[in-house]
Formats: sequence, structure tokens, C-alpha cells
Amino acid sequence: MTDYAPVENRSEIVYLYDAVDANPNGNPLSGSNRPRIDPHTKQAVVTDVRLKRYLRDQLEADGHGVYITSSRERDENAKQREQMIKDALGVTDSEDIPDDPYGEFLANAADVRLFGATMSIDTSDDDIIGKIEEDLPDNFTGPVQFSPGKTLHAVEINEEYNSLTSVIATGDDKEQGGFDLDDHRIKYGLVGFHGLVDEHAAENTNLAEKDVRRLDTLLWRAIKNQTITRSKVGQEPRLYLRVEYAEESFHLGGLTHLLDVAGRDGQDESEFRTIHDVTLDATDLVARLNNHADKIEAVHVVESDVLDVSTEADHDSVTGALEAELGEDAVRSVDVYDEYEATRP
Amino acid sequence: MSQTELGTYDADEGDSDSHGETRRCLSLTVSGPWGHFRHVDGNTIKRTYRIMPRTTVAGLLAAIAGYDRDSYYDLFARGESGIAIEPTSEIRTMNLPENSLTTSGEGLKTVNSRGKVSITYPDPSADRQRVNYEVLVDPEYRIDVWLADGEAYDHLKSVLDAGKSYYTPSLGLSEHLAEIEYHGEKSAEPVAVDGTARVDSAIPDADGVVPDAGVTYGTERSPGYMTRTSGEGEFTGRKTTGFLTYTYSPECDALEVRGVDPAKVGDRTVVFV
Repeated sequence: MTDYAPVENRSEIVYLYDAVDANPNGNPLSGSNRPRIDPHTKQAVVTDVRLKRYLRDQLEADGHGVYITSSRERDENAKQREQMIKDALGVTDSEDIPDDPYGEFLANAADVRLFGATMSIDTSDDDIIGKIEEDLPDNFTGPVQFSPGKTLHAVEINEEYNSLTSVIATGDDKEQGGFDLDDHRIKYGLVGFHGLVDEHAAENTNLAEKDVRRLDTLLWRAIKNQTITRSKVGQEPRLYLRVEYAEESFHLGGLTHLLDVAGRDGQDESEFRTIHDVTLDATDLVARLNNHADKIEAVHVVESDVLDVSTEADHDSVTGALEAELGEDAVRSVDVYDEYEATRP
Repeated sequence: MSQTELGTYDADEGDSDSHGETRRCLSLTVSGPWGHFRHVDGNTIKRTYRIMPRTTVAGLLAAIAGYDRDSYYDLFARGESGIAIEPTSEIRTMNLPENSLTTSGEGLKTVNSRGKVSITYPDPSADRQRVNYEVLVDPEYRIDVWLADGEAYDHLKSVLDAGKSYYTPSLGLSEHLAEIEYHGEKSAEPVAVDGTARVDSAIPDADGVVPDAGVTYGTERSPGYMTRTSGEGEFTGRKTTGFLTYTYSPECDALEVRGVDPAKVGDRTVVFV
């Protein structure tokens, strides 16, 4: 049997990271993997799938069991998952079925607890299936959901990069040749993600309180550590807020969309090139949280020291503004590097 | 397909249904940065409906109220409920392709150890499949709903009143997180129509739209009603029992239309179905 402390409170996540001269998420159907851009608003778009890949890779790097492993290498881990399921369900007799096969599977798959997965059981053996069918979903709906992210402003494409030449040998008897590769990047983008932790859906995947605590360091470290390929270098986390609500079934919704950006010296947003060009306007976000302070248990915050913030009361950080409005007890500054060690397996 | 007629709502009697009298309904706006209502005949491109299908609205309201999957279809059955759907922001789509693991038969890996239990799952070491999702950008819909089941209606009302939702609401796919703005309980008063009427909501199964210069029209057929099934295979759990053909304006203009029984909800004219 697997014991865990279940999630009790709903949380809403606001997460910002920026990309300098990078391709935060290429569109695989665009021919040359161009950055995804909303053609109407010129905002860059990053799918939830891209974000979750960073998070899964970081979970794996930290030594957690991950079910949907990366396709790049990891033959070893794919086998490990197969073994995991065999271990959970490798039974010939209904007497041998573990008390909680799916609990054991979930205990080994940190990413399924968070984001869910698709799987199914196929059997004609009623005796065995009868014993496990109550635990038996076709898919696990993830209790943690992120909407696809968008930059908080219009972006510009860096056209100077699109003429890389690469020398590739295509086979033993082939000559080497130069290939023109298209390489498209955005000059700068501050990407905003919005996420929710559903305390009721958490029961489906045995999502534990400590899994949610792990998110407080995971998102930050994933962008720091997993953006290592050529077009992904140049991305840094800037702000993480997890608003943990005190009241069941309640969340405000859409918190990320309350944030706005302005240029520091009256710059137009398409002229942003680094985080130093951007002022984050958190006035509406702080005001909305303050209006519902009685329904908030705590706000867990990680904030980059180079993020320039404007608020109505002239606080220069989101953390400071929240402490002033909600009270210091309600705001917890997460120490990413101390805390992550504590949640490793 | 005939429209659902308005009847009286009585919390004590529940399901009385006499045409031409005022009902109470709940009114809310659902919006989000993204939405995807999967079109039933999409394949390599996952197309989306433009108007949130009636079955999706039912699922959203059931999630807010906290009903389990496959447990709420009777509540939203024909004659037992009325739903009006009005797009309130210009309808726009873009493509959001994803690399994903296929869950079609050949892409699934089966682990059959000594016993007869076999478990299939997407092979995580396989190449990803490119799936092109057509998604709605910044969709927003005003929804009015009545339920004949007084208890369920009161429960939904109290949840919306408290600004709560049992499961987190989304627009079609679970990752397309939605925001809910509740406008309160309204009365839906039937409007006597002699000839044509000007209607704000999308119009289901109308006899005819009267073309207006400068107004564009869209029309699409989407699932309207579902029932629970106990069969085996891909469609286990539920099946569609009726489709609705909606006519709408992508720019959110009111449409002049014939052959409908509209109702007045506040200062808007909508058609419940």
C-alpha cells in the first residue's frame, strides 16, 4: 500500500520566464520550426506540452520516476517503466494482485501524479480484472493543468539567424555537404503561464501535498537546467507564484492575465531585448489577491532579483507588495535550492 | 429537430413544462485564452467547433457542480434543460500543433507478463506524432441555462453564487483553463414572434436566417445530447443522441431569424434548446 498526504487545497499558479534570442517553442509544422506566434497579436506562444517536457526532464534529473520519458535517448528509462508496470501488474493469479496496483504504479511515476497519462487494460480474465477494475482508469486526468502560455507583449523575430550552415554526412559512401538550415528565434519574450492544481482531481492520481510543494522549486529549476539545447539557451525564470486557497472548490481564475508590461524608458514592447527593458505591472494582480485575502491560505513566491515591478503602492517587488497587503505570514518566499533537496526521492 | 419550449420552473414541482411562461435561468460568461471543442470528423487536423457544443456546456456545468463523468446526461436531456449559447468575443482560431505520443492501436505497447492481464500504454521511447490542433483564441461565451430538476438547479446556483467550482473549469481540453463570471439568476420570458426575430445567441435549427448586409454567418452541426452506454470498445460510457445545427455570427452580431421561439433574458434575446 502507498501512503501519502493528499492535497487539501486548490492552488493557482502564475509563472513567468523570459527568452532572449531563443526559440522558446518551435512549431513543428512550420517547415523550419519557426517560433509559434499569434499572427494577429504577434505574441509568442509556448504550449503546455513544451513546459511539461521541461518539468518531466527535471523530475527525471532529480531521480524521480517518470512515465512519459523523453524520446531523445533513455532506452533505459523506457524499460524501467515497462518493468514498473510489470511489477505492478505482473500477476498470474488473482490472489497475487497487490492491494493497490495502481497506487504502486502512481507512486513510481511523479509525472503521472501531476499531469496524468493515457493507458488502458485489456483482458478477458474476469477474475483478475474484477479485482482491479475499481483502480482502473483508461486515462488519468492530470490534477495539475497549465494553459498554453503567451508572451505578455508582441515579439519580434530575429531574422539574422536564418542562414546557418551545417555540414552533415548522410552515410558512409556519401560526400559531406553544406546544408543551409533555417534557424528562427525571437529577440525577446516574457512568457506567462497560468496553472491550476485541482484538489478534487488530485484524488485520481494520488497527488500528494509534497508533489505540490515540489512544484514550487521544480518550475524554477526546470527552466534553469533544462533549457540547454542551442535554440533554448537564453531562458530564465522570473516570477513564480502559487496562490494556495483556504476554501474548498474556490479559486479566482485567470491571475496570469492580470499582469501587464511596460517599457522602462517609454520603449515600445516590440523593442524589448532583455529583462532590463521591462517593467512588470502587478497592480491588478496584487489588488485582486488583496480583495480576496480571506480566501487565501498562503502565497508561495519565487522572484528574480532583476525583475522590475510596479505596483500601486510603489513596492519594487511582487513579494514586497503581497507582504504589505496580505501580511507577512501569508507570504512564503521559497528557497529553491534548499527546498528541492528535501523533496528528492 | 424541434426546439425545447420554455415552461414554468417550480422548485417544488420540478419538471412542469407549460409553454409560454417565464422560467428562472442562470446566466454566466465563460472565457479563457484558449479553447478546443474537438470536431467529430477531424482526423490529422483536430478541428474545433466555433460555438461551444451543447454537450460541452453540459460537461462544464457538471464539472462546476461536481458531477462525475457519465453521470449527468439525463439532467441535461431534451425537455429537462434549456441552454442558450452566445459568442461574446469575435471568433478567431489559430493552429497549435503538438508532438504527442500516439494512442492509436499500432502505437501502443502491450505489456503482457505471465498472466492474462495485459496493459497497453503509449511507448514513451517512440517518435512523437505531429498533431495539428486548431484552437480558438480568447474565446468567450455567454451561457444561460435552466434545469427542470429543481434540486440540481439550486445546487448549481449555490455553487456559482459562491464563485466556486468543484472541478476546475476548462474550455474543451483540460489544459485550456477557463474563467467563469456569474451574472446571477435571471428570468427568461418567452417572446411572441410574428415573422422574424432579432436574436443575440447562436440559433439552433432555425427555419431561416434573414440575410443582413454587412453581417457574416457561420453554421455548424455539433453534438447536442448524450446518453450513457454500457457497451464495449472506444465509445464506452456515452454516445451522442442528437445533433444541433447552430447558425451564428463570428463577429457576434445579433441575427434576424425566422422559425424560433426566443426568450428575453435581461436585455438580451436568446434561444434555449
